[in-house]
Amino acid sequence: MAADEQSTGLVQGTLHMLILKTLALEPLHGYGIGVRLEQISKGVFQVNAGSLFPALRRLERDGLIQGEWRATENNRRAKYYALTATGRAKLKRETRDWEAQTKAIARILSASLGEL
Amino acid sequence: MLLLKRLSAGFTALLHRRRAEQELDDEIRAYLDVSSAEKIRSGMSPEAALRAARAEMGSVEAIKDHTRDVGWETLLESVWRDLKYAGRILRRAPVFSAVAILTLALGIGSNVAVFTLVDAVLFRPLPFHEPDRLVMISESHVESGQQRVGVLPGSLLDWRERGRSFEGISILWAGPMLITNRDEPARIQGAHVSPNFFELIGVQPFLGRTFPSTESDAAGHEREVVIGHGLWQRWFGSDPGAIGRTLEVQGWVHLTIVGVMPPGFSFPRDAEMWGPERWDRSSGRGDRWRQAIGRVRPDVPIQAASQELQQIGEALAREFPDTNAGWTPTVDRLDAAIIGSVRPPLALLLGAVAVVFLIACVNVATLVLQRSSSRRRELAMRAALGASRSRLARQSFIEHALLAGVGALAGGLLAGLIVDGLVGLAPAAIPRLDTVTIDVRVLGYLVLVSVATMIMTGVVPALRSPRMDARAVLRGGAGASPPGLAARGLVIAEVALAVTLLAGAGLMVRTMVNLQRLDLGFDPSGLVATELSVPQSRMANGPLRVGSRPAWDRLALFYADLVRQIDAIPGVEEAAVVAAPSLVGRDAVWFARAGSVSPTPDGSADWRPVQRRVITPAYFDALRLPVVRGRAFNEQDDALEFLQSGAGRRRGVAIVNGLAAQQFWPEKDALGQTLTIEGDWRVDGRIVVGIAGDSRDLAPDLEPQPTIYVPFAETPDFGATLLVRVTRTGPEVSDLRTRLRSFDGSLAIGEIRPLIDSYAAALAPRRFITIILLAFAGTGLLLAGIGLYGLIATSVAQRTREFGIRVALGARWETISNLVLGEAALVVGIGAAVGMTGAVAATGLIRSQLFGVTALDAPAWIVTGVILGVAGLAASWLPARRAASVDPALTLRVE
Repeated sequence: MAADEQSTGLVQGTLHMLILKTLALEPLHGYGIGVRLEQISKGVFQVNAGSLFPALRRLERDGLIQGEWRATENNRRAKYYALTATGRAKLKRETRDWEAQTKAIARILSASLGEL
Repeated sequence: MLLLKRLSAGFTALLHRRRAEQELDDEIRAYLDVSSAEKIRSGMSPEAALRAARAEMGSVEAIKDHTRDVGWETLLESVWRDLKYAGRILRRAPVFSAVAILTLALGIGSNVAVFTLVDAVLFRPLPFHEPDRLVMISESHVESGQQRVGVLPGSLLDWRERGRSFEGISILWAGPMLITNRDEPARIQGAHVSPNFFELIGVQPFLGRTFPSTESDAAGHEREVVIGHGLWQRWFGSDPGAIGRTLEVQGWVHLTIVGVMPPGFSFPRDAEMWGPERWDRSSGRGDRWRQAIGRVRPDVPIQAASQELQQIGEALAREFPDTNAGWTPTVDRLDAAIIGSVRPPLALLLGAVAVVFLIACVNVATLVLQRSSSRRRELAMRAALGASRSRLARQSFIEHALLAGVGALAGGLLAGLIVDGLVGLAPAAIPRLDTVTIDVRVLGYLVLVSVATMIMTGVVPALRSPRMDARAVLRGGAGASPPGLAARGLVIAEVALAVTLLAGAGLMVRTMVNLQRLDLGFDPSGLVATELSVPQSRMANGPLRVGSRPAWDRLALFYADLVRQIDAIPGVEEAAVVAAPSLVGRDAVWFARAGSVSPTPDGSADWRPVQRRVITPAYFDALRLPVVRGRAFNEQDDALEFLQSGAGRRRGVAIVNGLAAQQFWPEKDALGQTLTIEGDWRVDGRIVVGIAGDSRDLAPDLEPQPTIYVPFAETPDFGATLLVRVTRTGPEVSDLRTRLRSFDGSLAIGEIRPLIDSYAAALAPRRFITIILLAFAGTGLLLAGIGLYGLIATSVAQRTREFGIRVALGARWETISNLVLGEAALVVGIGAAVGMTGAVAATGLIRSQLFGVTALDAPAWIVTGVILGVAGLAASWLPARRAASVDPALTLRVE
């Protein structure tokens, strides 16, 4: 189902990469991931629960992240997600691919006649 | 690796569903907690914060649903849920479900049943080794119009020696064998084959052996016989000791059983015994009534083999002008030769059942469409509650697939019943009926048809449902929209398809009526007939040679006696004998020409094909076949006079029918003329003593043929058909049998039955088609009627308000009902026009089955129109009444 990509305005498949990246810095719970993404992107990406939960479920399924119930800073229970070794490797690979792709796309977009 | 992980995660989730569900709930609550805590920190009141957090989050159920959808196992679960839901929905609309399921069951059931029949008869390869290389070889004489009459054994030897295209060629001819060492003499269908026959078709015996496969090796094996599995069971109780036992043929030939063929093997048709027929150069060139089959080499196309035989044929025509001039060998695929004439009627059936199937599918699509328009509110509601479009489409698809699935199941069961009915109804003339079974192929076809049905009935509405604006539907209030172009188009298609079936059935009924009313030229009712055979040993003490005079004369006297005895039974009006084979079914073609003994100098050009009947004097009286001029035969034309006439050949007598008279003497009076029949060894030409009426004694649907009658006493045969005209109070069949048995114990007596049954049997293929087309047309009409009713009823329901207003403004009820009937008439009219056009275009399928009517037969079309009109009126009458009885006060208040 493509429902988890619908409302974020993100390129297909990039939400997963962004979640992985967020979690590479430190373990976070679901709401925290959403807030962090919004902060880092300076409000460009707003990830709501409807997209977030299926994405987290999928990543956990595939063994890229692992959840653990812990107390939050104001003493409530929440599930914190951390990157697994596989997740870390996947993130590295995806980042590399992404950079290569964006570079290529940028070159194409900025190409002028003279360069051809 | 990833796949494994997903699989195991799926199973874990399935096993611990509650825990997974619990965790999702917890996580969502935690999310809300954290979210609202955050908002409180930024200065909101707790209540406002919670509300805002909830609003931000949206529908919790939708989130849960989407999150669950991540795993494959939830797809299974939700499909199961959808199935259960679909089941509930269908149960809640029992009329709709029942009609749809019944429609599908009828469509699928009849389709699968007809496929089963046609597959067994037409499509399956013959049960031989590489059957596509087997061919039937025959010879044709173009100049005299003799098509595929048989082959000359001498030519067959030449083909074997000179041809390069064939692995082998075998003689093959079938005929009854009279077995005389049983309790009662029995006639068994036998086949005479070259020794290489079994090797050629590649079928191994079930027990024992067959024959050495070359003519030279087979020398000394002439008195051997291979029997069929069924005969082995009937006569020998499946005892392997049957090998080595002896069968006595014609009272003196003793054949030793050397092998038993496997179950189901009965080629050529119905054969139960196979004996070797050796033919070599010492046997001469023979005559042209045996058939031949051949196996073409794997690297040679059949076309090339045919050309090679034709080239050899040209050479043979030069080398043996007496026997081969003008004769050309023809090669046909064996399966085509066997199936031949039943292909057109079966193709017609297949076409008709395809139409029924189409109507069924269209009907269900119509029902589904009408229903889905009345369910728009429900779907809109579900969309508003957060169901995704794909989810709704899937639900819709599952609902209709379930419908189709149940319909297919019922159809499969129904197919079993219909197959039994079809086989019971099918005329014996259709080959391979005994192989009709429901097996893997048929089940495969059932699955194929069912899947096609599911897709047709499921996909269309599934595609429609997402294209709906939920808000507009919910706000709009009205539950359903009036039937659109699509619904009308579907019903028009149904009517059109039903019209083609109706027209076909109408034409077939007209054909049957024509055939029943046909003047046969004689009166078969009141006649009973049976096939008799007397063993040769009864007449002579050794093998019978052509011209062994006393034996033939004894034979003639034997049958004359028999006829006299039967004639003396009270209640028998006349009894006569006609030499077999004859009547009902195509008799062997004879050749005759005008003129007397000596052949014309220019050879065989003026020989004409004729039918020959060898009869005792009472034949014309017994059949009520008039002798229009001259006289019938009398005792003086018979054996006694002939016996006394002394040595040598003499001039014989003949009676010709009007067609023969016209053919041989177009400008002269036939009476008193002389004619010669080819191979008429007992006489030197015949004088025409009488002219008989033309008759359709072969089959009602075969045109009368030029026919020559000759006296039985002069040219007797060991096999004969006894014809007895009995009065209403005449002897019972069992009496007749007892009389015949006591007349001579060595006589083999066939089934005794009314002659009219044989003529009815000749019409059986057409009757079969007529009955099935009628059934199909009835089904099609019923389905189209249901479709039309649904359309009109829906339309009336939509227009209730309009009708209420009209009535309130003073419209009379006739006006209202005419409005509704007019709508129905438009749909039926367009459908009829389209259907008639289609039916006329498709008449090629049915033309070969028609008799005495053209495809544009007015009565058939008028009846079709009337039936259609009545059906249309019946289907729209109720809705029209409902429309006319609308109470304006009630309808206007509803909104």
